[in-house]
Amino acid sequence: MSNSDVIIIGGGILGAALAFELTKESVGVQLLDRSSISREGSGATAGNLHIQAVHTRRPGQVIALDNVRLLPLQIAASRLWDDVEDELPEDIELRRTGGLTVAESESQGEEILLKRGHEIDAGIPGEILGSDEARRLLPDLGDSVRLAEFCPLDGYVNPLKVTPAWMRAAIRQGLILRTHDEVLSISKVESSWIVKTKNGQFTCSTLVIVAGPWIDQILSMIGVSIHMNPVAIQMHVTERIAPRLPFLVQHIAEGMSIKQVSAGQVMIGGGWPAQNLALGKTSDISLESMTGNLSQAVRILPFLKNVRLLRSWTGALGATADEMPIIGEVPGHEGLFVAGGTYAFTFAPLWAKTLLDLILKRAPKIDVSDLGIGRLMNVNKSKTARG
Amino acid sequence: MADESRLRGRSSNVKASKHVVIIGGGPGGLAAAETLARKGVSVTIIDENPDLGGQYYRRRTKGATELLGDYRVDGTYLIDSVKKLGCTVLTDSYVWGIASDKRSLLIENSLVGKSSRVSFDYLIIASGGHEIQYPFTNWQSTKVMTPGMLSRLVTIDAIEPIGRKAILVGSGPFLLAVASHLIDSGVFVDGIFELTRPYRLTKFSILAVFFPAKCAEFLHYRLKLLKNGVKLSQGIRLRSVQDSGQGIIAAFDKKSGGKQVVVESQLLGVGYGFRPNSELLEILNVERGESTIFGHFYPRVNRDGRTSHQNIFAIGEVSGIEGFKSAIIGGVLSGQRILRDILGVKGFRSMSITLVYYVRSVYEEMFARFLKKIYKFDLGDFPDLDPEVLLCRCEGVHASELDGVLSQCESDMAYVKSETRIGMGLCQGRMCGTALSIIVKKNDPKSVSSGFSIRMPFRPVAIGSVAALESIENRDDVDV
Repeated sequence: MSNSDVIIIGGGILGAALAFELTKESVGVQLLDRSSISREGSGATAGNLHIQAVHTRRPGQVIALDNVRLLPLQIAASRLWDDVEDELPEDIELRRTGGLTVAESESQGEEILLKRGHEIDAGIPGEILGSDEARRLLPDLGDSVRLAEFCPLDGYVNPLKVTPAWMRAAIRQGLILRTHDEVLSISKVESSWIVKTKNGQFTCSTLVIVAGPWIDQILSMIGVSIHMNPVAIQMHVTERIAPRLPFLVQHIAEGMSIKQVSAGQVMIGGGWPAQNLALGKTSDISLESMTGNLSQAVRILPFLKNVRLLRSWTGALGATADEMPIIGEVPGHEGLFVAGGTYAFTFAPLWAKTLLDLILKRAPKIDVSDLGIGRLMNVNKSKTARG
Repeated sequence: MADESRLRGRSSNVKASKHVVIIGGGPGGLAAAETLARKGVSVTIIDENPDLGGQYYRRRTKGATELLGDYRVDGTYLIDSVKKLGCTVLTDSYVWGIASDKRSLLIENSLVGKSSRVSFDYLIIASGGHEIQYPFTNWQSTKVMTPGMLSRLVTIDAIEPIGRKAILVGSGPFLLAVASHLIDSGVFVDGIFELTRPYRLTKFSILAVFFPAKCAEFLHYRLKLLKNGVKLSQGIRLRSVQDSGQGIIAAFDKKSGGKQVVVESQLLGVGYGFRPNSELLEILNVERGESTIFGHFYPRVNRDGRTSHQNIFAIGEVSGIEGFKSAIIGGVLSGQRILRDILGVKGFRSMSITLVYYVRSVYEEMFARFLKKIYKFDLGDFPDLDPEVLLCRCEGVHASELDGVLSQCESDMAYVKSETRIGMGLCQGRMCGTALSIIVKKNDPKSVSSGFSIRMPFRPVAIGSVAALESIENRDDVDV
């Protein structure tokens, strides 16, 4: 039996970032993961920092997300990422390349103009580019691009580096990391949470669930029933090529993100679903997502046609039915916190600081009261959108 | 499947309606193609090389044929026969994936840079294997290659190796065959260095008398080595190679006693047998049989080569039994099985052929098991890597970079991969995966590590080719 102030369930980017913040404040923390750290969504993600307003529908997504609500969160997260880079001793390959969001039709162009207006209100820098201007900026753009927006704050972080770096820094500050230790049951005795795992039993006063696609399963151990839409997404990476693509390129109406990383490879993603969701196993590659995603890529950046696709991979993440983030204390369960959902990678430093404030009973710097899981509790199981 | 075809009987329509795709144009694939095509079954045979033949029946280049004559004439007959029987032959084509319905392969023609779908009712996977390597200091030297490559240089390409001297290192009977090829081509073999100790008389090795033909083959090789002054060392492992400018200096140590041995030569061929090209079997998720310390597994197959998926067969190297004879037997048996399925072929003649091949198959399998026992190596036979050894050649990762990662990996290859980039390069982990599997297992002997997880594309493919598949798909939808 082992005690600590806080137990974090989930060794992805949110768990690592929070463990770092908590141990910095000398809070005793143990982190449990069912396998290795950064295994599912946090390792599979493209690692983009989305600061300009995002497109609202991932492939297969039924309900459009509220991209205007996210804007104040995005600019706050953007500022925090600069601190992360300064604070961590390891290189996390943070690159502010700037991001280009493209439109191929008139209505898509209007969508960009509309979101630009909201970004100005939120204080996010950006520039609208006509097709000629866009091509001057990036001559490789395909003929179909009619309008684009450039935001200098967009960029990426190497997902393979940042979670381990945060985790190692937290371990130096006293974190006890227990990987390959699956949580079997959770109970509450007086004001203590008792977490039974494959290898032991742990007690804490504060329990944080940042378990991505397993959030609903773990909450159900406590008798909390929420409706999540966990999904496995798919990513593609090419062979290394000479530097050619200086920006993150995205699409306003379709899930698509393309960038060349510092290793020279081009990563192509956009939240396209894998063939299935195999929690705890390897979800299969979907050929339909692969051809769909890569056709976008060659349409927007035709030079990619002759570049070889080297690998594809899948990873599960904890999406919600309304495609919005979740963060906060679980209503009716004192000392139980949850975070996850949409764009958790971009929001990681913000969610870590916010959870820290909530755990230490301080007022968070940014209001997240509308993003609690209360909205997902006791909802009738609606039909899932993906298959 | 079987019942349905029996009901339909032996009409030519049925023959035409069932399509068999064979991956690999080596002895096994060719034998299967011939067996099927002779009965009028529609067959497509896919091979990544410019011509059929595989490793064993590889065709000589035009220049080399003029110089040295035809190579392995039985192969020439078999290839001609398959072509004459009207099989569709897709050469310069490799399989990189499979469609979601698991009924059509995705293949890239590397000459034109275009991908297409090839649908099958039955699939025979005869994709062979590739030579296993284990890293050592300076293994990236241009004077180091696999035994198969050395053999190919002299027998197929008719290239005279610089210096005409070589040593062979690793494990398995293949080293003896390669030594023989080298000697025939006028290359002096400075020595064979066998990791295990198969060439000694033990209570077990005496069982070789049950395989007289194989013994004769071995004696033929042994005498040839003796006549040519080739020293055969066993129980010895390679530590490092140095490029001396003129050639190479290879340092070994004896497994028992640790005595150092240093040998000079011009070229070094090193390989520890073959690992199956089994990516497709992994993606298809067929039931697994035996797995090896190199992190790969063999599918569970019956005598006909049938896997747990009724319409998918695995024969030859991918099924775990080495040698061209086994591959041919596997080809005939899988072909006959499919014929029985779709044509309901019965009768004395067909049954007796099958029976003869069953007996031969059992014999070859027993011999393969015997070989596996006498050439048996374990984890301890492979030395720990010196820190400066280049473990992953594609991504430039050295063995020293595993420090601190192994202690946390819990036999999790994916974790080591994401922390170090080992296996993320162009070879997709084929070269380093075997070594990493051994390292991870040595680190945690209880582990059941199964190598890197395999996903599409399991061979690199042009993005334009994949994107173009989408329009083909849309067209299919319209047709339906």
